[in-house]
Amino acid sequence: MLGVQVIRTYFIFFAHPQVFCKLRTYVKYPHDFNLVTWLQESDLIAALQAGSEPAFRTLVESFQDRVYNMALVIVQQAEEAEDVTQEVFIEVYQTIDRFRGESRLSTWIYRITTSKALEHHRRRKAKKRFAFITSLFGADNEVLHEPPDFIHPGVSLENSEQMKLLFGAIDKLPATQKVAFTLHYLNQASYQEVAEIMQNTVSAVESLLHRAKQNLRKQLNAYYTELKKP
Amino acid sequence: MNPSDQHEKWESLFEQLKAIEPARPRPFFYTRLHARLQAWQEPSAVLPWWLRKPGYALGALGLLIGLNVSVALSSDWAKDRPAETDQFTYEGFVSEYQLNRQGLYADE
Repeated sequence: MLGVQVIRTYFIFFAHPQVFCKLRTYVKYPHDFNLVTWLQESDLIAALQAGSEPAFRTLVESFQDRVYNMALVIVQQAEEAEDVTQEVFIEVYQTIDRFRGESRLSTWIYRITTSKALEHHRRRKAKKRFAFITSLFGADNEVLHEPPDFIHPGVSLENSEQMKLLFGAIDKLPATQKVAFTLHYLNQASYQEVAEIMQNTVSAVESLLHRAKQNLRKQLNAYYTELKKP
Repeated sequence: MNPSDQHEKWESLFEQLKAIEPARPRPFFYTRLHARLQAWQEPSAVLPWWLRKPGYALGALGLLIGLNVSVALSSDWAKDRPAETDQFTYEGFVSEYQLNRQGLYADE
């Protein structure tokens, strides 16, 4: 079975290079055309498992924006988001042999992304706490470096203040609520897709989103009531 | 403001997130990723695979030591050696210099 898939992949990627080049041009327009969906996912997986470099490049170019965007909202730092994105693709490269196709490739990649991004975020918070504690007992009373508030690069200027507060509030949400909210509102995943990525039920996702919105409202209410005052 | 209006207001705020232009990594992302992947793969070219797995390396070392010890204990090497004589006793001294025991005390 695997042999047949490898032959099919060979046919697509190597025997017809003009077809492959044509496919590569579509990668530049991921919003209009999803290459990985169009190209049989099983063929791509077989090519990746066979160690095809063009297949890996195709995969990276198809998913890099969505993976980066998701990582950026969770870690809220551009350099760290790029680091997470690279780690995600390295893990995909290393573990593609173990991918058995029980879920869609995109779902698997997003699952790796959320776990990597949360891991980075947790590590950074722990480091920050440790730095604060050592600064209390240390001889040098250095002021801790606080990163500036996160502003998503896609936010328009007139909305920047409001969005800065909203992203700050998202950052304070518990991990699962944050992931569900980010996937639904920023990556525009449906409840079903969020449930698949989080390996949860749709009703559990609905509950997570409801609690996330309640928490955000609590956090941002003070700001909005302040604005309404004459 | 009634609760449904409030709900609408908040929902419209959250919906604004969907209109945000997606962020993209810096240009030449694949080049940087490729360089990182190569850096990760490089040690494999320098070291054999079994040396990169400490379990295998330690197991091999243990096996080597065990084999050496078992060979040393089981061989006839230890048995074949002549029994060492104690050089610090009178008997040892006599046998070392091949002296006639009687000759030593001939004058007495």
